[in-house]
Amino acid sequence: MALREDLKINRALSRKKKPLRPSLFAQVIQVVQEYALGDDFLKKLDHPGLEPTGPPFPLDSLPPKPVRAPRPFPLASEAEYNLAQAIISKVNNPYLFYASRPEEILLCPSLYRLNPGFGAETLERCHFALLLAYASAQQELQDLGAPEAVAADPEEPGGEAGIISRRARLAELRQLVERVEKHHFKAGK
Amino acid sequence: MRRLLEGELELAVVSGFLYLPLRFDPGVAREVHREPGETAGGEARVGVIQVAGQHFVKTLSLASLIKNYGKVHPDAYEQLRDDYRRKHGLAAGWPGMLVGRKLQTIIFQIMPHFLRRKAGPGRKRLSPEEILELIGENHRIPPEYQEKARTYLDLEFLRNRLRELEESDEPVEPLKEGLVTSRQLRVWLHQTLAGEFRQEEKERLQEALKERGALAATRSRHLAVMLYLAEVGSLEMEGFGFFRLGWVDDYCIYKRTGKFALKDFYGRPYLFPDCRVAVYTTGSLKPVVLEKYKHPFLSRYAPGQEICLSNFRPSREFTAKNVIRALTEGLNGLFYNYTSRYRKGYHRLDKFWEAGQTFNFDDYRVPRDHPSLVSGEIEIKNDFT
Repeated sequence: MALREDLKINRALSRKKKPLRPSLFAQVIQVVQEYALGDDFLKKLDHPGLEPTGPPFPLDSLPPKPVRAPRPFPLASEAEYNLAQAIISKVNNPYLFYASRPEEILLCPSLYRLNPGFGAETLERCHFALLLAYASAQQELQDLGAPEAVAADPEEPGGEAGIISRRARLAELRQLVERVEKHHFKAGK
Repeated sequence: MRRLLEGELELAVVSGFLYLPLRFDPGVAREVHREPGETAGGEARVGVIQVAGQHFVKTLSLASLIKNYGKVHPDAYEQLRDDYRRKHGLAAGWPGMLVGRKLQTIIFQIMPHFLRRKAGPGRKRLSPEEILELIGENHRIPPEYQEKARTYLDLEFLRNRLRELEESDEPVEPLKEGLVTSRQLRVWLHQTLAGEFRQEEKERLQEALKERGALAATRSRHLAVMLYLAEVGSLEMEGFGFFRLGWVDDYCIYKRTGKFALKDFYGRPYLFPDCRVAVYTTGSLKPVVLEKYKHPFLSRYAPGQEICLSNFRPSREFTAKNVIRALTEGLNGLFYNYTSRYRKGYHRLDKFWEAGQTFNFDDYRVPRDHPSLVSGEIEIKNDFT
């Protein structure tokens, strides 16, 4: 009897309409066509020196991420298609699906390397520069250690001045993390 | 297609076919880059070629582009034609037919049917010359049409224009094979269409020369009548008439009923005023009454109403026979279809009980000894006793 019920449920579920999810190609080709990207964009992706290491502009001035509606079956010219495929193969990480601007595509590898655990909702809603700043701040916080440890560390280079500047940096990072969590994340990440 | 011609695309022309740049997605790319031996997806690569490292897909033939451009983009086509005519000093519609085909049918085939019974003691149908003569006698044709008729019969001007067009013939080179730009395609298309326009104009001139040559034997008085009718587009004679609808070759053709009488159940006569039963050459040939009119076979008291005819299926084809039949059916419907004994039509002359009816026929009722009825001037159409 249980098997019969199982079969019924499975068949009912398999018959249910599933929403069409745009492909990764559809997402990337939309950025390529919207911003008229060329082969020089690949050079930027290739050049590690161009990788951003922190927030390039004040986080509060980041433009809101647009609601995206990629075409379900996009077609592109041969050059655009080749560029989109090259971007997909070079970046090769799941965050690329949520990149809606060229700069976000550029930030994709660094962001994924720093924190591969962002949820889909966060990635859809927040600019990658913001997430990168948040992930870097968390990483730096981890590296600097707890404030109590800083106060007690007798080996701190620079002596007391070093301790003060390290505390200030810690406070700054903490403030950044709290601000991002409060204003940009709904609940947790 | 407009994007194809006005954009900045690079296209390919191979064996008389136009190839457009192939648009890619992963599925298309898979098919295109499939090895020749692979069979998945069948013959998906048919129509895809590679020129100068780019992939192109087969679309329409150049012959089809030329043939159907006027249907796909009628506005642009007409604009090109107008430009061509303006460039070569040919007015729109020039030289054209003297009288449109519909007008010819009305004058020479429909009108004689309604005039012949009064044309003389014989029942013979009037010939075109007799019709024109009759119109000339009954209508004052302004003298400038005589002058126009004489000019019209001068064929030398037309012959010169035809010669000029023939001398300006320039063969159009076929579009080169290989890569071409949208601009090159556009220029070639315009040149080819100009060649077609030239050919059309030549044919029109030849037709006009033929028509006018045939009219050379016509008396200039008759030709003046035709020119007058072609320009004015309306005429009324002995109760039959027509008038043009707008600027096109479409007409409203009508026949007047004259005054007539019908009788009701009690034998009381009702005198109906004159009205025009008409058909339009556009759409189906349904008989209507042009004036604001009331009659048992009209549903309301309003102008332009269709006459109730149960056994008549109007044709949509404009021919003399169909128009004559529609007008005759309409007239017979008003004259003879009403009987006081059966419930036919929308209303009855002697009753006023239908819900929502806002009129009756009391104002048409006349005494039995009305002078027009007694003298026989006005006939009671449904007096079958």
